[in-house]
Amino acid sequence: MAKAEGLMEFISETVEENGAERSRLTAVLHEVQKRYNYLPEQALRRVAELMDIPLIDVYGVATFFTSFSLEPKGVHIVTVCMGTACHVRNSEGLLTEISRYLGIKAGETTADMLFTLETVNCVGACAMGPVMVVDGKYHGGMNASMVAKVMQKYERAEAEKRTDWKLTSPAALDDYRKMVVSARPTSTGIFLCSGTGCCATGSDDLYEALVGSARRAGLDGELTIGRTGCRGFCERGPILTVKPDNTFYQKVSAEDADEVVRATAAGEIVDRLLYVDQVTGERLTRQEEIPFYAKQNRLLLGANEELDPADMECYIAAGGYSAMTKALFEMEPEDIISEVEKAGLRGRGGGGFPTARKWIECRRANSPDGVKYVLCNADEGDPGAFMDRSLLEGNPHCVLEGMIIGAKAIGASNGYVYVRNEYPLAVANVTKAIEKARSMGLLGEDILGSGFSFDVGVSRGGGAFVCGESTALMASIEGRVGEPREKYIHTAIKGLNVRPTNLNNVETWANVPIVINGGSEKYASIGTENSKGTKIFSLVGKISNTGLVEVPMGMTLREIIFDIGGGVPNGKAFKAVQTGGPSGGCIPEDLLDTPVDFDRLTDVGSMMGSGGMIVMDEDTCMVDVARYFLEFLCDESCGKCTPCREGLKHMMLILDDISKGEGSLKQLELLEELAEVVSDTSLCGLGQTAPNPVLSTIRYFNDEYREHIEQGKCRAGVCKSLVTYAIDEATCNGCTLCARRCPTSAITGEKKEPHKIDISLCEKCGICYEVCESDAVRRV
Amino acid sequence: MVELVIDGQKVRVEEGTTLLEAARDYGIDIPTLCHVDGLSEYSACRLCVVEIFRGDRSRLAASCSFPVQDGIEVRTNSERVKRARKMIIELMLASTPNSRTVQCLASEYGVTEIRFKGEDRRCLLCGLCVRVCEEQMSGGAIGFARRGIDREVTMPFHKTPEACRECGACMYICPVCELPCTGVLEPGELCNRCVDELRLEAFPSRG
Repeated sequence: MAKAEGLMEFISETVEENGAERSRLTAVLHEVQKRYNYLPEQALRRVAELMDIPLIDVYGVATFFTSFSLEPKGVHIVTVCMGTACHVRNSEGLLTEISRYLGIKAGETTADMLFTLETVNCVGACAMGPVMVVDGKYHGGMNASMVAKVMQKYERAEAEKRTDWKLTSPAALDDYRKMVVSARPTSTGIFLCSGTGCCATGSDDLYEALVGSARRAGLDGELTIGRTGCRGFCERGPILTVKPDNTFYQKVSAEDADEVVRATAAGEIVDRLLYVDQVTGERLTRQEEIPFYAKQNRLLLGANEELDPADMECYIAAGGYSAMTKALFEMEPEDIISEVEKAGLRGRGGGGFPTARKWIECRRANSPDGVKYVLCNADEGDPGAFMDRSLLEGNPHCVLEGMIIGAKAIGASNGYVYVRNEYPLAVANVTKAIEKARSMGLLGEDILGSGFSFDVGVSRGGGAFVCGESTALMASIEGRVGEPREKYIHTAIKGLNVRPTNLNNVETWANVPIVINGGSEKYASIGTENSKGTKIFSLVGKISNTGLVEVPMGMTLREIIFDIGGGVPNGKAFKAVQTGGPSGGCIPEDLLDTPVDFDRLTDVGSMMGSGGMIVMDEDTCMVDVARYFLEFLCDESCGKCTPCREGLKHMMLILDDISKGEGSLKQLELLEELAEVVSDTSLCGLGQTAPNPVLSTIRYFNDEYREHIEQGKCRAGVCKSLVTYAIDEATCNGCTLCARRCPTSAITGEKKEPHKIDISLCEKCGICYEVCESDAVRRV
Repeated sequence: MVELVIDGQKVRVEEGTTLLEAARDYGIDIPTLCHVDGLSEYSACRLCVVEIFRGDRSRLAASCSFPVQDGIEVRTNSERVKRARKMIIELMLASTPNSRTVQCLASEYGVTEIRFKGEDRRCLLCGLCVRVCEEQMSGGAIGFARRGIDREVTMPFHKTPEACRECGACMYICPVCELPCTGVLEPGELCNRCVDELRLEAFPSRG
């Protein structure tokens, strides 16, 4: 009714504006035709009434002129000129192709009411023939091969405009995919990383500069300037690649834009922006030649560099949502679970719990009202880790697709992505992805017409590490304090809102479409016996190549650190690698041949964790590392249970004493005893694993603890209380650099004369030690 | 009905019973602090941990909230339990030495020294007052604020809210506000007076 009322009002207004004289009839009809693309019957009746013209006369005029139509027409009117000039330039062939493309004959309208195909006897653009006109816009010099490109422009515009346009079947998704694929630019392009790391080093400015350069060079049509998700090699940012050759430029700034655009257009390479091999000094052109990338298996991260995370079409074009289609239309829930089980997928959040077992328990659980939840844990709180940020930010649809598949397997109707508030780009990208997927019918009610409904919301954290723990996370989504509760009754049975709830980490969800698409056998061929697939690590700390690395399970720590990471920089000696974040442990050099595998890392007293891998060199003090993690955990403990709140505090106090040289061997024993009780009795995973950094450093670096206690010595020179700085008079050349840099003016001395440090003023910041070029500053 | 073994004794109880309830039904004592019958489970003090054996693996769990399971074997006084319990009491003593409840627990369970740096806090953060206020008095006047070491029981903005009817239930149930332990003079001190001076017979559970 609303539409009819609108129509009547529109006609009254039109008649009023034009006047009711009979001479205005065609003018009025043209306006109605323009507004509605046809002349509805009620419209003609109303016009006759208002203009006081017999209805049959109005009807006669309306049916006489070809510009008017009494049948509803499509949103876009495609008109092919059949004038003589066009005719001799094969307008017939053009019409046949458009007809074939749209699947309708001239005079018909497509079933989705988007296009009406018409012919006209001449549009008077004879010099440009053959001509087709779409909505009044002339496309001259047409031939059959150009039809698809013109039509897709309108189809895409329509797809973007219509939020109510839904894909209602797998076939519709396939058609949409074909359309998107054929419309994608295939010409040369510059693809710029837009992850948080590269944005921090100026990727946004660079993007604007590149677009500007391309425009000034008159290349805006041919040269695509695109954005991608995080590439992982963040320390080299901003990073961009030039397709199709995959030329890899690093540390590119806005000032380089003109040169990059010019070289790309000319098919040349900008040598100075290439990556230089750390060992050979050779400039490497392509991404796959760079050692950091060469040994990786970027099963998940590989998509990041191909996709614009803000553009769902990229994901669709790359085959996105095909795993979901398979799961929804060709698989029973049991089949999905069985595939995931056979693939050997284990939780990437840290514990490595078999994903299928979790799903089965939740599937079998009874819900009082049938509601079950599927959650994504994107509360990546480990200091020094950013795998989940990169995935969720760089490829949010992949995570959503995994969640939909999981929801179908479990029988869940609702879900949440719980994401750190400290990751604004991830929040923005996943929110946008959800809205877009929902608007297209890939999420929400009756997904793709399958009858299966599942919707996802975004819930933001508020800065609490403990909210990565499942029960705390659920409490937080419920709007309560992020305080864990006992899990003797699993969250799979009673979780969010006391309903069966399945929680998996971002990386786990991202693996699910890969398992379903490629099949469990292919997936399980990667990895070790009990740890399948790949794992993404955030390789950071004292290492030459910092960034995200994705490797097959089973690769040794040594390969990751030395072959991919390029080893420890500045000629320093490797000391330990910390995995598993605050819940993990420190692994010494003689265990570097341990493969990354859930069980093997646990065997050596650490854990896989969510993927933090922090490399430490001889300048790292292991007592200080243990103390650092404890301080972090004391800050992040919710304070509910006694062992975690009180126990961690006393562990830290003991470590404080040891780092000041005031500890005793008895205290060291007490520290171990307390650590074991804290891990034995704490309520949640945070407290249960909190002692790991302490226990593993005591286990592997006992001599360092003893040195602190017995000799009051910190060999790494980190523990301030145990270190003094002095200048060796014989070596000092009096360059004054240290004196100028000292923030407390503790260093004095004349130019070219040996300098001295006044210990009473020295704050032991170590700047003098770092800046001295003649190694005259001693740390003892 | 669920069948399990607690301290060598065969136990048959209804499904949904907690280990603590099952043990107490059969006359087996497990110490508790944050648990009080009639209030919701909080599982925070960890004093009631017991060792649960399944096959050749065992773990500690809070008996106040662990629901009984068929076929498990539970030990309420194993070496591992005793070590954990004593350590927890020691931690409580270090922070809140003036709680008579905690000092008595120390005597009862054989804590003979405090090896940690002492404080003189007046709250164990057991949450009894918060729960009694909300659940028994329909008050909801007090609650927890902040987190970690800074966690505290408080009122909104430290001002008595309208919801408080000054019924005193919070003070009645508090294990610290009660008559302080008279044996302790200095923070960090261990009382053990009941054991040493009053020559009470050693408690059966002293290990």
